[in-house]
Amino acid sequence: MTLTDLLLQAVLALCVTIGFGVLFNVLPRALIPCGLVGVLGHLARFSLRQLGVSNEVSTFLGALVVGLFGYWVSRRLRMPRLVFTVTGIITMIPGISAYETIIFFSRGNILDGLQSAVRAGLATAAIAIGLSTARILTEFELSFYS
Amino acid sequence: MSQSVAIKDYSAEHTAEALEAITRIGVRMLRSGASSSRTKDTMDRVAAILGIEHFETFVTPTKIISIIYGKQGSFTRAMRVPLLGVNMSAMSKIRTLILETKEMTPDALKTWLDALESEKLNYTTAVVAVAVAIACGCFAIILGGGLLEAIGAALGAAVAQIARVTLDRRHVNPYIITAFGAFVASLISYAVMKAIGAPTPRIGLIASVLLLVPGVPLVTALLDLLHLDLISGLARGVYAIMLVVNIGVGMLVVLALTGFSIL
Repeated sequence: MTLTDLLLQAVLALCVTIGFGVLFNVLPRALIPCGLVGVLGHLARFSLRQLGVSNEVSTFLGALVVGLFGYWVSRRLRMPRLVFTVTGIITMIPGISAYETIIFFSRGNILDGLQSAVRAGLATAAIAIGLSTARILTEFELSFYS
Repeated sequence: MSQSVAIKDYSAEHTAEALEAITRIGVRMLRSGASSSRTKDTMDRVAAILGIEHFETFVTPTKIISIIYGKQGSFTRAMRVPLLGVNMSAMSKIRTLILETKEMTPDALKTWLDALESEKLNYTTAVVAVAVAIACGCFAIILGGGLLEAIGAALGAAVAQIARVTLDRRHVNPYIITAFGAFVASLISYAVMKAIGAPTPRIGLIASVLLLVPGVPLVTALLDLLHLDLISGLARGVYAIMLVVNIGVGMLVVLALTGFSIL
């Protein structure tokens, strides 16, 4: 993992996140902040992956970074947090495992298909748990119910 | 509620008007992709801004029922949410309104809503298609592909986005749009990658359908579940899963055409 690797990944994540910001009709002044949230989350996940951390754990921590940093940005810009979290987690979508699931099932290979499906499900769950943890850490009301 | 607006003494007619305006705000939130819990919270705050004392609402992803209990009796209003889209701009503007407005009349709120409804999107169809193409191309490289896969993914995604917008304008069912979008994206990206000789076409194929992944329904499903709004959370989660399955259906057609050889 060199600096150029990280820089390349940062630029890629920035493009992906801003592209989705445009698709979701985010206000122009929030596009760059959106992109930065996505870059931080992706870099956290990418470097953990390079250090040998499992995909699920690094995805969880990446989503946690997106949730926490997204909270801070949404506070500063006075915008809904959803704007920054939804665009921020796009780079973490488990595309390959989801695709493998279709391929294996369509070939009649149920066992490998199930394995890929579980892997895709775990990665999605890791994103969900990361974002939820960030919510619960930052929204005090959520810890109690009224 | 943190706002301390004086409780207004509305006539029956004004109460009905206020109720309509509040419910319309809720519909606008849901149509912009907000979670049910956030929508309910926003409607409560708007009711407080209008000076209404007893307001209650039941929000599901596709329908809102709201009630005002006033001196004139109780008023009910139900509204259907025509289509679940994503418009972060509208959501942000409603957020700004409720954060910065202390007091408002129902009439002023209606005028404000009319202005919001008639606003154009921030980006034209062409700009969105280019942005989506760049995003999907970059995603192909993140997944481990090279420049050739990125080109295939970008072209497939751009055409799929234009197809999606075109069908969306004709109010085609979202499942059909998603399946057709996935079909178009994977077909075009596969054809392009075949023509330019990309070494791992599956990477480009995966990245080309990224634009159809229901990110907003998935995250809002989670948020609703976290806020113990289980009905909305489950409904949204199922909607997201249905869309994901439809992406698979669209891709399967292309895979069948190529003999499932793209691994």
